[in-house]
Amino acid sequence: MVFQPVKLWILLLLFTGVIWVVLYSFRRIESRKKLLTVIRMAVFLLFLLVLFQPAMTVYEKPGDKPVIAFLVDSSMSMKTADPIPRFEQVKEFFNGERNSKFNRIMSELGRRYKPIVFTFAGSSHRTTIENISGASPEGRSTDIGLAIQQVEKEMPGNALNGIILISDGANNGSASPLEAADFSGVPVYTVGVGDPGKYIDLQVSEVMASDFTFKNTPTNIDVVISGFGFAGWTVPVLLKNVDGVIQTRKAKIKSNNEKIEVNFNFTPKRVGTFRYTVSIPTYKSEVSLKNNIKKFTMQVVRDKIRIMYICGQPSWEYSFLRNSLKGDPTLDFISFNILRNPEDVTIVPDSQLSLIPFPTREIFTKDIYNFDLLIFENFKYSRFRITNAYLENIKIFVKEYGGAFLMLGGDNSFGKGGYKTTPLYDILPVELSGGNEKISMGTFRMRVNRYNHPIVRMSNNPKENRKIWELMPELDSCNEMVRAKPGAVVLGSHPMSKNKHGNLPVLCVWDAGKGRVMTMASNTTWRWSFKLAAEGKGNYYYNRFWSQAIRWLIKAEEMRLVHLSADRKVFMRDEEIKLNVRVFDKYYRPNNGASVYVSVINPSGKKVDLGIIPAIPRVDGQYEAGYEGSIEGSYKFIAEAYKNGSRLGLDEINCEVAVPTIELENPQLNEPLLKKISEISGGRYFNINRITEKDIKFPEREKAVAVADKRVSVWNSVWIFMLIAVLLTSEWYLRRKSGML
Amino acid sequence: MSHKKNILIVLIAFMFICPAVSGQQRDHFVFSQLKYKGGNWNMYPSSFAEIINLLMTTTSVEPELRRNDILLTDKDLFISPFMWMVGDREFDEFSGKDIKILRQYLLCGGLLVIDDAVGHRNYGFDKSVRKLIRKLFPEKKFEKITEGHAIFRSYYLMRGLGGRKMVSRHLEGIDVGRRTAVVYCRNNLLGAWARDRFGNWLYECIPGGEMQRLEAMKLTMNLIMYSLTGTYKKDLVHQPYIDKKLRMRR
Repeated sequence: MVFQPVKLWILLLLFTGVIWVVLYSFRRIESRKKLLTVIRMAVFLLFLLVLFQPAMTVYEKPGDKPVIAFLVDSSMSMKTADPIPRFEQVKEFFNGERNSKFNRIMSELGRRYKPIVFTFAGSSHRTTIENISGASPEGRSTDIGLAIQQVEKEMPGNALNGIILISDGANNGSASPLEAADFSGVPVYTVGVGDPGKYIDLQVSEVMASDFTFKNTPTNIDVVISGFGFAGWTVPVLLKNVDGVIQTRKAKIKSNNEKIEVNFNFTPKRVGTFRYTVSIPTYKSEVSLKNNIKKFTMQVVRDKIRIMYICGQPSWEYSFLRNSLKGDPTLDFISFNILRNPEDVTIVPDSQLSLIPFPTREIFTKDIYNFDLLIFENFKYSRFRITNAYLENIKIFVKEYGGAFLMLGGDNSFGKGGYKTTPLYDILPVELSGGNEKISMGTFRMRVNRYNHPIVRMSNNPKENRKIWELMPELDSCNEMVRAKPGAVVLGSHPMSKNKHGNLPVLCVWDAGKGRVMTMASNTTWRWSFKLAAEGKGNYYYNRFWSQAIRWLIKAEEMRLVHLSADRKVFMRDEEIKLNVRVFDKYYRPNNGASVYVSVINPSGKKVDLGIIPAIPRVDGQYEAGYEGSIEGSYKFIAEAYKNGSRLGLDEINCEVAVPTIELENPQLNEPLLKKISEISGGRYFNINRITEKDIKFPEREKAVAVADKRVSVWNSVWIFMLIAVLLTSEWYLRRKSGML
Repeated sequence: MSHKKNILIVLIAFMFICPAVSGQQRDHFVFSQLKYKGGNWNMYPSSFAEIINLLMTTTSVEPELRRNDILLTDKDLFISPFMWMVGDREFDEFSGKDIKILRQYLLCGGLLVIDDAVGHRNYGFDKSVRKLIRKLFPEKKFEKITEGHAIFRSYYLMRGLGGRKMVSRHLEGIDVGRRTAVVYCRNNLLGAWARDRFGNWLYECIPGGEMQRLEAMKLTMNLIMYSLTGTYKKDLVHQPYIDKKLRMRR
């Protein structure tokens, strides 16, 4: 019997106590009551027995024959036919026909040793020789090192004389097979299954790509190609994504199993999670076609927020905003400032001016797509031969490419800049009055209309935020625009100047297609920085305002109220994908009580609605869901949150469901590894086709000691529970018969 | 030249018609000149119109047509981050309050151009200026502004200094963060701009004559451009063009 030491002492104490109570009670009571007491005490003791869960270890005495362990690889790679399916050869090895070579080997081994059999893939399991015939190699990995360690653990006490490892050596586990063999203390005879000479395969052995990369930054992907039976061939290697082939390379295979490195270099242009494949052609004669392609996902993130600022004339708005943006390491800022107009005179030759040509064509046909935000300040497009086609490109950049656009005020902006009759007008959130647009003169303190909007949130405390805006320095004059377009949000307006539609809009935002647009009717926000300095408040609020505006415009991650995430990116088929949704309120505090809908689009394009998902108990603002992907491919999950009838936001992620293919990636017979395992442990290596009964002879071992064979739970028996029931029933019956109830 | 004279006449007329610069300036460039006690703060009143004239005719900058003469304690100090200080003699020490305001002004985006009309080192105006800077930034001292600084390429590509009197071959400055907040010129820039009522130059530029005057004008323009565009001309996008032009000039 085995007890935990502490529990044993408690049991002894309780037992002694019970005996003392029984003996003490017996001195005075009558015989029937004595019987009842004995029954109760017996029940009590049985309960104690169950409580302490005793177990019994059964030891197996060493037999006359030395024990040898067969370790049989039952991983998927053993299905490989080169040319005979490997596991079929193993079955024949154990259960071959009478008088066959394998039958003679097993008979000879059975005569000399007591064989015990384990199958292994990821871990090992005890089985019998007979069961091997009905087994199928379905293991998703091969861990030879772990299998050796587990056999050694099961056979302690010097019981094991040797191990016969029957495998193709296509190891992909984490434990080191060589270390395990070295520490096993017994010789490991390895029997290689497969015929390297008849193994024909071309494979993408390895793809080395980072999990994430940066938008607009060249990215390296290193690929290793190897081939068996393809010496002298040159094969094309293709890197693809959902849009098609990105790049093609050639791999020249000089000899069998030579590792050919191929390098891809491309520049991702869009932010998001994308699935890529590296593939080589497939040939009929190959033993495996699944290793001719490797898939991987890569998240493309923005490295820096790229801003292009085009300024119509030197201004302090430009100077201050430039200084603020240049100081933010997360921003990449490029600007063009028109220092001289075509009509200006010059007092020196052009070579003494630092002016450069304004690259209109490059900017408006090509470069804008590399930026996240385009800013126009007081810029009159018509002065610089900017055609409507170029302005149409800005519209496309915003509406279709998800770019952001900001227009700041001035004499050359909005209606005064002639933008009403251009394609750009479509994306502006304000109605313009045209070329006769006026400038509202005079200083004014912008009246904030939507204090909860992230752009104008100067403090998380709403009262404090309001107070900050009430004390913000005044702006100086603004473009008089008609009103905000339907769907636009007026964040700030002029406190006094009005037209028939109400107070003049100053700060407006809206979503235009996939992108966002903001208009600021004045180009004197630099006063927020400089004038606050006069009050000793520095430029914190100015920097914060512009930082928030930029991040809102480019839809930065931190500006979202709904965040969807999964615990991993890649899942196995039928494995649960755990989803977590974090929902925030308008002040970015965890939001409880929201309705969070989750849906998934599976690889075949079908949308599955997971409905409203539950909140995680005792975790503020977090909701969870699970989903099992049954088909291989990319799944898009969409979470949308609502509260009190208003939509809080939406987030999307992509997850990959893959069929386990690691076993089929490098399934060739790994003779070098099997040879090393045998060498290091004092055994020998044989190929299954060439082994004979005389080859395997284990050295004699010292006398074996008894081996703990199994551990049996004593308490976990139905008989004990029945005995307790019978005793309690008897006790109840006796008391009833005696009129004691 | 007659065209320029016409503009000048219009400008002078405007200076009398326009109200003094107040809190309202829109997005225009405002030239502030510092009024201080004990010295000669308003040495070349005619230079301003010349500067604005050249600024308007050669660049896209839109300036206010009235100079903003200002005390450090005036409420309109912070309507312009560009301030000129000129003098030819020792001046009264700035009070603690003035120092605090000026420091605040410079730390938060202001640019102070100090122009010594005499150019004697450690004497008179120069002595007071260095004393002022020690009080303003005890942890800093004037450093030479190198040839590659944005000031020398913010509009004109400059290879040397100008001024009424060629006393020093370099500018000195105090950097705050990524920008230069104080620029000190000992060559009397403003003096090179001064004209009499008949339109003639008031002072000869020595020893370089009119070429030296032209350099003084270019440097003044560059200082204004530096205030309005910062290190814009140091951006990488400009480098190939600027390098090419500099190579051509050699």
